[in-house]
Amino acid sequence: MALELSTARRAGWFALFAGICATATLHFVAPSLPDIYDGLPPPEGPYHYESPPPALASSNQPALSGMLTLSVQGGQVRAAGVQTDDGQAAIFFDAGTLKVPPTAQNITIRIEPLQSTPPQPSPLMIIGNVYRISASTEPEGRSVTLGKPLQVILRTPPGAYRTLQSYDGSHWHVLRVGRVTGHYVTASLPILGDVAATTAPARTGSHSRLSALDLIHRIHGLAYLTVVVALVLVGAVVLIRRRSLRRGS
Amino acid sequence: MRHVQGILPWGAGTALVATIEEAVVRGQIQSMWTGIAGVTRGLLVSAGVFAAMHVPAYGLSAMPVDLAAGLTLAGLRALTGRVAPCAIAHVGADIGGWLWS
Repeated sequence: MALELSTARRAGWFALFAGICATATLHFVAPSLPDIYDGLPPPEGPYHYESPPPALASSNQPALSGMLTLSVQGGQVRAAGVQTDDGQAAIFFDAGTLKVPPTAQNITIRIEPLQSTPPQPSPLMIIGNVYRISASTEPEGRSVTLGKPLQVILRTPPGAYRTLQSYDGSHWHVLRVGRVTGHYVTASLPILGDVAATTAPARTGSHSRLSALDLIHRIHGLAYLTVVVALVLVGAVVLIRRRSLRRGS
Repeated sequence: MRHVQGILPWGAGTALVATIEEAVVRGQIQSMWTGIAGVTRGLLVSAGVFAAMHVPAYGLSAMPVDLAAGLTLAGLRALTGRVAPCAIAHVGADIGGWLWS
């Protein structure tokens, strides 16, 4: 009995140590891995509209912008991330993503919600805010372009959502959407410009209707609940069988 | 730090789900497999089940971190012989992780 207990404690210490080390390593090596919230979407505050729908105008808080100034070292800008102060839009990029003029010493990256939006990306419609993502040298104010795509994360308002699009000043381009977490969507952005979530016109304004995103979440939640319920049932059956075996012996 | 609006109902739901998971995975499955196949296999099976059951909600990309978390909680169960510390650690990690993310 003492030997069994000692083995269990040794294995327990080892597993505990290995698990904590692995979790910490994953946290630093792959910080983009999803957090664990046990199937329940974490609470989010209301969406901040730059131009709110009439029904939400009285309670709406304006969307906020974000800005970051970085120094240019060896002709390169280091890897960094910028987000708006309300956390509704963010970008992340690797070292060398931003193509800077050789003489530049600093650059400023901005994410700003637009009051006057570009033309609608027919046949789809913009939902939520349009964010302008720009970068320029300081203090000259010369535009900076991208050498390779950066990652953009956008929060979408409740309701229907189809895809993210970027506007280059004359045309809208559909972005390849990556991971979706809650109402946050990631996409690869090949050029700096305006970014917005878009949807089919028929769905616009129907906050009570399920969006594809909500549906995916509900299906995921359902699958998760099914697994949890199945495990509870298995556990209950095992428990009942154990008790009946104990009684039998 | 995240805003705390809506944390009470979410926190209660998360605590409930996490506690049920611990009661089933660590309380039943790990205990059963430890009895059948030994402590180490019991640990590994419960960590594997814990990681697998999160795949429908979070996808395969979450599997490594779930496996690591499962191993940690399984170790805690083996070390203490009780489920309550695992449930407390699990709920604390869920809520703490959200607050500081």
